[in-house]
Amino acid sequence: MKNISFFRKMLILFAGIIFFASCEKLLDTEPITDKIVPPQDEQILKTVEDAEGAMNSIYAIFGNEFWQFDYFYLGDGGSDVAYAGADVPEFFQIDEYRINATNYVIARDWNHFSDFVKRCNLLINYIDAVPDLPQDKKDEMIGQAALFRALSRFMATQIWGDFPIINSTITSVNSSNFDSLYNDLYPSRKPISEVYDAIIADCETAIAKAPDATSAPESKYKPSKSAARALLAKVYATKPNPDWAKVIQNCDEVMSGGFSLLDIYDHLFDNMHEGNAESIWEVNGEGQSTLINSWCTNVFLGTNWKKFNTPSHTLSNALDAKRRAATIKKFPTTFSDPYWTSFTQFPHPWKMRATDGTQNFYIFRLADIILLKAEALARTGDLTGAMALVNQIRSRVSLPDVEPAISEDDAINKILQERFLELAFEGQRWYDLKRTGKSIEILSKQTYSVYDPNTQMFSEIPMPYLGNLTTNDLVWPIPQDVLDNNPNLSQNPGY
Amino acid sequence: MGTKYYFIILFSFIVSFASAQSIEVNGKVVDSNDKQPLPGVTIVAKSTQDGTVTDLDGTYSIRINPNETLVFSFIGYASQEIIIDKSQTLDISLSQGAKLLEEVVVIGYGTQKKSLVTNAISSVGSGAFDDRPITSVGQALQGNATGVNVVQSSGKPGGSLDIRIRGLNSIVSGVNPLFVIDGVQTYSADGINTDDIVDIQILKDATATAIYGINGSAGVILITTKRGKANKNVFGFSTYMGISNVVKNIDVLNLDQYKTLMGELSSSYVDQANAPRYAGINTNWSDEVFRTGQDGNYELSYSGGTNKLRAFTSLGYQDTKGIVKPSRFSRYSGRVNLDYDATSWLTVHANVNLIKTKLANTSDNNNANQGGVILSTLTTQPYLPIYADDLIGGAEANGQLPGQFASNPIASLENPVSFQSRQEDTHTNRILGNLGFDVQLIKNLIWKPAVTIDRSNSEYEYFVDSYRSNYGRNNDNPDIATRGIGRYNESKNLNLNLENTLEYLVETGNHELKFLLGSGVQHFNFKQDQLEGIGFALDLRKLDLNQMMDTTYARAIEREKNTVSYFARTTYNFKEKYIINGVFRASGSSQLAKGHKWGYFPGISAAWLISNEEFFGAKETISLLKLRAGWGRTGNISGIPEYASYGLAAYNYSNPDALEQINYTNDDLTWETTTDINIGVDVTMFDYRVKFTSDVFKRNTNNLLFRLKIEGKDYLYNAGEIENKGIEFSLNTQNIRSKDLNWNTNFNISFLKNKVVEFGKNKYESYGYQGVNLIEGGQPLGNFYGYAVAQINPVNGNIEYRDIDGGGFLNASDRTIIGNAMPDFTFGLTNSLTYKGISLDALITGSQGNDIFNASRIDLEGMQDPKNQSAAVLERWQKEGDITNIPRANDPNAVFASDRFVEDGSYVRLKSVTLSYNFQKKFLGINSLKIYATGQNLATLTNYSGFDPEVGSNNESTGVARGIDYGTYPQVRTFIFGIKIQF
Repeated sequence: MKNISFFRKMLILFAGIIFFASCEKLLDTEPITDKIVPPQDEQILKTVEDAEGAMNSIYAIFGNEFWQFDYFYLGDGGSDVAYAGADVPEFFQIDEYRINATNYVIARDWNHFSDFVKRCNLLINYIDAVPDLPQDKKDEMIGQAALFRALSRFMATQIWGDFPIINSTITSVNSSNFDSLYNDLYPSRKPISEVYDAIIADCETAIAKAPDATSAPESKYKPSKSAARALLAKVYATKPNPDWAKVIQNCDEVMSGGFSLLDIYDHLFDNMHEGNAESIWEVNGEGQSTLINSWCTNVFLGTNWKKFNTPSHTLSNALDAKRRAATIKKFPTTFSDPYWTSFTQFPHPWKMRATDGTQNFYIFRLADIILLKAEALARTGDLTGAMALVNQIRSRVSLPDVEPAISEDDAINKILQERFLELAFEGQRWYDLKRTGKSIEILSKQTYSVYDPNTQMFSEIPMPYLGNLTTNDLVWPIPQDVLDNNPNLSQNPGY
Repeated sequence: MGTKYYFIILFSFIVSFASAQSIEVNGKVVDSNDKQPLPGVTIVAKSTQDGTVTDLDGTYSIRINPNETLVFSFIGYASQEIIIDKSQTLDISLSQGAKLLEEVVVIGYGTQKKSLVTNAISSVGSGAFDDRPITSVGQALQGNATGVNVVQSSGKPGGSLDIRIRGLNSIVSGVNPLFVIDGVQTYSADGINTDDIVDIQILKDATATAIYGINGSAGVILITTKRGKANKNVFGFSTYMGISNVVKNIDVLNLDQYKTLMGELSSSYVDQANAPRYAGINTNWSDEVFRTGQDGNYELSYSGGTNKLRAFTSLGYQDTKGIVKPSRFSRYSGRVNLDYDATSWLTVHANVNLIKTKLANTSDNNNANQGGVILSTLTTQPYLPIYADDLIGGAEANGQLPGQFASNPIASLENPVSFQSRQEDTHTNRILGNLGFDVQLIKNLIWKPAVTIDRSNSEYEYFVDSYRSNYGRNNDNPDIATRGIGRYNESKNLNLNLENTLEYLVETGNHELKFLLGSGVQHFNFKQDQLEGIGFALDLRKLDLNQMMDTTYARAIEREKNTVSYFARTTYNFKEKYIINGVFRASGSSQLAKGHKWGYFPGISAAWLISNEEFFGAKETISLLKLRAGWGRTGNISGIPEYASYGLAAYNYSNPDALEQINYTNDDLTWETTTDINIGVDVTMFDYRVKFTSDVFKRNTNNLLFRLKIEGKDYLYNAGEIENKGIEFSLNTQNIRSKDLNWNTNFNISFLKNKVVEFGKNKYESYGYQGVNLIEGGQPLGNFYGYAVAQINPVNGNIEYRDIDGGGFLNASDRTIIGNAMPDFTFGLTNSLTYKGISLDALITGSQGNDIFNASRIDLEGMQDPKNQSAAVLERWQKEGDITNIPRANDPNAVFASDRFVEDGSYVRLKSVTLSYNFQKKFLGINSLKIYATGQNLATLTNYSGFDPEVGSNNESTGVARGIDYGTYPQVRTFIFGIKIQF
């Protein structure tokens, strides 16, 4: 103790302090396995790989709950195609038109659509500056992203009416730029007409830049010029003040685009004819742990638990033999419900059959577009031409021609009935009824059969809850938590 | 300077010190009155603060420097200070209650005489928990300390506990305290063997925790483990064994009642129940699921050593089988604590703690559709058998195979036994190590360099076999390669901490000044490999990755963060009348952007020992009267991710090929800051028989961390303010103090009020089941938000809610505040009665004024589908004119979150009772022998209708979601019998 010099001890102390002073650089760490998104205003997609990642994340939209499940649940379950099925109260609310703004399905779909648009924006806004990517490849990607964005906004505006339009990409938010980004972070809803302007512009971009459709099955799995025209036709038919001439023009372009109806209706759904000649744009499920794991079948088909979208008596009674065989499958189950009381012959949708995640389904197929053109012809006075197209669809399933239409309304009813039979369980019916203005008339008449053991007779009973539908019920509410946290949003009437 | 140079310096330093010598003092401490040995007397070297305590027979041994002052202190006795110049045997007799209490408490980076403490600190000694069947530190604290609210949200063995010190002061950031286990700073005390613990100190106010800077905001829990003593070999062996059972059952409908209810829902459900395949089957699912749990614990320890080298070593094994299979927690632990006096100026402290745990989980806190065993037990239809073999006609006739669970005709439901057949195991290996040196540079100047390591590696295995359950068969997918699910995660956590402190003591006359200077570098590294796959052999029942056909997900994650800190503390003590304590810590964190990395956390506190003033006249009655006051500031960075200043993209779990942005950049993100004011009083009266402490505090947390979800991506930002204020009382009394009979009582009670003074950018945020936990500005945390029931319409049986917004119809704006999960106060009461060798100890804990949202009842009383329901629905509306508070069957509005599910969660619980016998005489070389029996959770007084009023938060990780019971694994009643031997 006495031997050590004070100086030496101080030296050690000093050494210790120096050591820690050099630790300052420890405070600069960089992500190891996480990927850094560049700050706002910098190029986000830096490599071809980044660009492909962004494109993949757009395709992955089709593996999402909306497209795998809610699209069909609303389109068919929310209409006279199917009863709710299963046992989930939130879905009963949708089926029975008594949706509450706190319903989680509403909330998840609202968020999904905002997210879909964001994913498309990322690619559209940043693809131009990606090095080492040829211009034609860039154009092709922009065209595809634009069509995905148009499709997303088209679905959203049909469901909610006015919908926000966001075209920017936000990567970096901080207190200094928060206010300037505020309107994109807390967007207000834009009038339906503005939403449709944006959709039409995107469709036109896609028509210009997306690849041509070929007869190769792979060509059907991505947005093509023909897919863009099909969407544009439907958009012109659906928007306020429809432009029927443009519907006809775009339908004609599609119909002369090298597509043809399959001879055998069941081939459309037997999973042996993926990417067939009738297909214009289809979702390509490739199984678990792929870009699109198409799990939709398991929600609607199977005996292990009671599935969603139980086929309605109305549909079952109306279907012709060929389409019935491809549309509804009855088999023994361990459950029944008030609508179908038999255990031995419980019906299921049969247009999705692959349970391993490889199920494909159509966004557009030729029969849909032919009937859409018929609708446009009927709206523009060519009732004969319209019925000829309906008969073209009917002849495939060996049905006789329809009676000639006696009025525009009669023609529309006949077309709508044909779409009901042709496109059941393809997620179309709810939107078709809305487009033609027939929702309340048809939905409120829905009935179901009840067997009375005393009289041994079936009687038709009106579906509960559907007696007093109003137009308010035909748009979903804005999710309550979204509404409460965004002062720029307003609720739809009736909620 | 190169590393080599440091080594040379260090070496020359050690060599040149080697000539100095320490001396040894040993002896016996006895009571000056009855000459009985005093065990547990603290002996501390005044300048180094190194110390020891006396054994059961009052003996001690300590190595000190020459001319050191030794301080002998013991609760209730006057302390003595003796200057020692050479090795000697020194017997001391202490007399009761003449002067100040000289109990020493551990504070951050050092110790402090309890009488001189200026902060709010609670202490829990091992006596409060060492006879109880507990598996974690949290259980040890429950009910034993003021200001510490411990909620055991599940009775699951090895389950984690919520420990909240002085309320909730964060919304999305961590609210868990910092643990300092023998100097190792960590956020987890998982796996620490409570048998090894001597005592636990809880630093509650910022004046005490500011020394831990950005980690101290939620309080600090200091855990001290046992250490060896010189020349005193003690072998210890202890064990207990016991059983546990479910405390309470929830009655469900029997088969007839069930069918009646189904008739009101749909005749097809009755047909289903009457299907021939189920004829005669009536399964009582509770009988199938609940079992008797088993508890076992074994501990072997040795403590002892020579004058220079002292060791405490222990080996422990604990195994707890839960009441719901497969729930089980087992732990092997080993500890070596070494102290080595290398030279007169150098002491080495080395601790190694090895822990190996296995946790088998039973999925709870979830509904029957998502694997929640508890709700599944209650709601699975009684007509179903467990196995398909038991269906009438056998398995094959019903489309299944032998040994498979009978398929449930309701959507995606497995029966509870099927859920229990899933494997969910976590194997953890943890090592906590600590190597520290006490180097006396010059007299009164001590340098303490230390390195601590906390490394834990864990493997998570999840497996659903491909044969028995419908879920495992992937809904009978024809492709065998898609059946069965396996997950394997391997996580590695490293927490490395390098610290240096310098302590300097100046004593002149009436003035005593203590300085502490320190610096620290902490490095955290987290690595995780995640693997998920499908396609397993039909007969495989445990995860075997070799048999996995298809990998569906594989990811490797690695993240790290560093913290650099400098800290200082000064304590000034004038004649033990006035004490002023100032602390300061500067901490830099790698988690934040440049320019925002450094935070500065000061604290100042003072105490006035009125009873030491000459003018204080009541010294005979009041031996201690102390006023304390303090102000301090701490930070909280635990909710801020490692790379918060970067916007990050990650590969999506469900779309492994798609790279998606997960959060936005925020380069001005900073920590939450808590500013704290504490005022306290300590009083000791009547010859140390009454000790009273009270603290009042107000804590304001600013710059709260908020997470704004913008299109699914996180934007973290700072805003707003939360205020917690409260008052705490603790009272220790020796009601009877005599040679043979002693009765001590310890009562503590904590009141807390909480308010969100200012909220963030959102109008409100909601968490928990159906978003029922709603947080908004101007309101307390813990509010429940939902509909308010107006009536059950006697005409049609429909539930009707109050039209809060006056809109004329039911919509989301009709929701309102319907309850609050935060208690008004919590308390604990310990009574300890000793007659000769017989002791009776009882702990009562309680919580008052908190509501519980009983979400289980939505599933049990909703009457929406063919799930079975609780017996409560027997009171449902069935015919016109029925006046009841349970609506009709199949009312779709009945399942909304409403005040009908909010219940008073107040309770008073007899938490534990221990009866023990200490053999008074030594025999067969056994120094001490104790046998005891303990009952835990013996009785609970509550109006709550669920299994248990201690509930958690329905799988929310944030502290603000709370008070929600959704199929929680119930608390258990445990009886154990134990024995402790020392020889």
